[in-house]
Amino acid sequence: MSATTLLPLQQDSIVVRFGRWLRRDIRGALSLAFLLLLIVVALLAPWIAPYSPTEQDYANMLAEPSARHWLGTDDLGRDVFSRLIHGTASSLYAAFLAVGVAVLVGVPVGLVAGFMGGWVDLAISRCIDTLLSFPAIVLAVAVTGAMGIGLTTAMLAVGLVFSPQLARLVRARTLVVRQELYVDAARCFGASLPRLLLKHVLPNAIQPVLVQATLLLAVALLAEASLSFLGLGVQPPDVSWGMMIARGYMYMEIAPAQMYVPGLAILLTAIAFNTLGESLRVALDPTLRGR
Amino acid sequence: MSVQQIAAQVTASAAPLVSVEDLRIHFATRDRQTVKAVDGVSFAILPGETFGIIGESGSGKTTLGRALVGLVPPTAGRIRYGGEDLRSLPRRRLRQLRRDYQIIFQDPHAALNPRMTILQSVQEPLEIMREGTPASRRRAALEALERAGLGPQLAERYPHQLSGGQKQRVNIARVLTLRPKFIVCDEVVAALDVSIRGAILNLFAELQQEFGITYAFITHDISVVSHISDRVAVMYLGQLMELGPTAAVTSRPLHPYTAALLSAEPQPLPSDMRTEKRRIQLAGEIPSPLAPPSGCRFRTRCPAARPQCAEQAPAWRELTPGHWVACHFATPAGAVLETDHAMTTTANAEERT
Repeated sequence: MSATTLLPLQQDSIVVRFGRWLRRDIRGALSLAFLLLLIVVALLAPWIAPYSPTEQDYANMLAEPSARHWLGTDDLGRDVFSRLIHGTASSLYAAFLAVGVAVLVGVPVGLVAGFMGGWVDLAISRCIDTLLSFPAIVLAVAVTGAMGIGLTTAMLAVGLVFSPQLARLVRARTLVVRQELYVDAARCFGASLPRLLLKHVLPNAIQPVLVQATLLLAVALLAEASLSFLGLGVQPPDVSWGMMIARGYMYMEIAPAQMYVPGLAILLTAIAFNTLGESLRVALDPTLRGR
Repeated sequence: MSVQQIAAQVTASAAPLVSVEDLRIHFATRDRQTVKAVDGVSFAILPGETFGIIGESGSGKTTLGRALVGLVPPTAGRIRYGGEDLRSLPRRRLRQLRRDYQIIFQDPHAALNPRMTILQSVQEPLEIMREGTPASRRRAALEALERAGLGPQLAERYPHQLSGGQKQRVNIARVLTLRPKFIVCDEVVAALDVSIRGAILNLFAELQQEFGITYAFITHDISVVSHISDRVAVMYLGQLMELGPTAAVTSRPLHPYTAALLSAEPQPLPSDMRTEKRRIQLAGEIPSPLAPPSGCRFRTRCPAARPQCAEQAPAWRELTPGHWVACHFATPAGAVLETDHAMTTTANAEERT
């Protein structure tokens, strides 16, 4: 029998498989929906928000939530709800930038260190240890001091400080995976080093990185908040959630919503990132799929 | 191939497919000791034969098998493939040569990337060789799967969805896509259920007939080796103890260790119907390859050990044509299994210390 006639082997389309996944994994679907909503909100902020983030209502400063100002106003009479919406973009941008840098730097470094071993590993590992002893915020402060204040430079620095965490994780997994028999088998077929790393080692070593990266997204959100709080991140008149907390905490006894609202936004986003990470881990691992 | 033909080939020294010359593979342990996994092994594998390698765990047989396909670099000595040494070859030629020399591992599951489908795994060797088009590679992979006894409905599955026997067939199919001349089979049935071992062994035999493949069949199971091998080498602590045509080795072993292995093989008969062969029991475990015994490595467990064995390593000698042994006392009539009483106790006393 010829092999070709036996081949209706159709894979379900990606849309069908995605739909199946959504139905099976409610928590993952909810997280994804929430994060998509945030992205839409960030993109459409000027059209969604009832007020401009800088518009001041002198008659209602530090106001309680009301029909006019859903989440109240801050000490300058600016609408908290509008500022929250406008702050979404910078907060998400900051988190993705930092984690993107961490992944792009950390993963290849860890992969090479773990796979090559020997003095390459030794040299890289010492650098990782050194960097790990640096508090992220302190380095970000130093970098902004040297390169100028601004969200992008600050978050690039945060990303660099995060990268050793991922590098160490990838290195540890790579040390295990490179011993696997399927790597030897591929080597026996004459596979090149890039092929071994990209097709055999990386896909089997990346899983914990995915989970860790979603955790780091949450940490990066907080780092943005801290840096903006210190005045090194987002600069007025731009808004971010961290900046709102920084200002709001001074009036927490008079107008607690000012601090709790952006805090809650950060918390929910962080949870959504983590939940999605866990869902991705399960969804991407064929051994955890139905038999 | 008959024993006589093999013996004739050996004596006529037909161009071997693989020749191993005084191969040594040493590993450094963490505390700076040296494990001599393979310590001075020489033999040649002839085209078309099945070359059995038997040994207990720790004998270095797996390391030897991995070295045969270039996965472990030799510390000293060399392996030549059709007369060529891998280390002296240019890259292109090396890749070309590599495809002729393949290995199938003991653990069929661990040998497959869990994130690749069966079809992806089986196609991979051809992809690496950049042979054909994606469509032709797919066809070749499906044909190989079919030849190994697997239908195309398994092609899109992942390894964890298959049984052990099916996975070993996938490994076989994957290697077959390259049409190798030589395959190292490292304990290929040890991890499988007894019920499917026979089927897999038969598949190996069929493929040999069909494609003229040469095998190095590594196993600890002397019954497997004696069924399928033309010649057999017995390994102990990194060295060869005996090498010869399978019929000669199993009917008239020259080394006490081989005799002991043979007598340990269970006979499927009630005790009163078994042949008269006395059982030779080996005391203790295989010594650590970190500190192998002086002289003959087998002496600490040998029923015929004498003082000379501790002082002098036995020479590797061809006692009858094509039948080699490393024992001071072996004669063409067979292994020496007894020593006088005093000597036996000396050997035992030494072993206890």
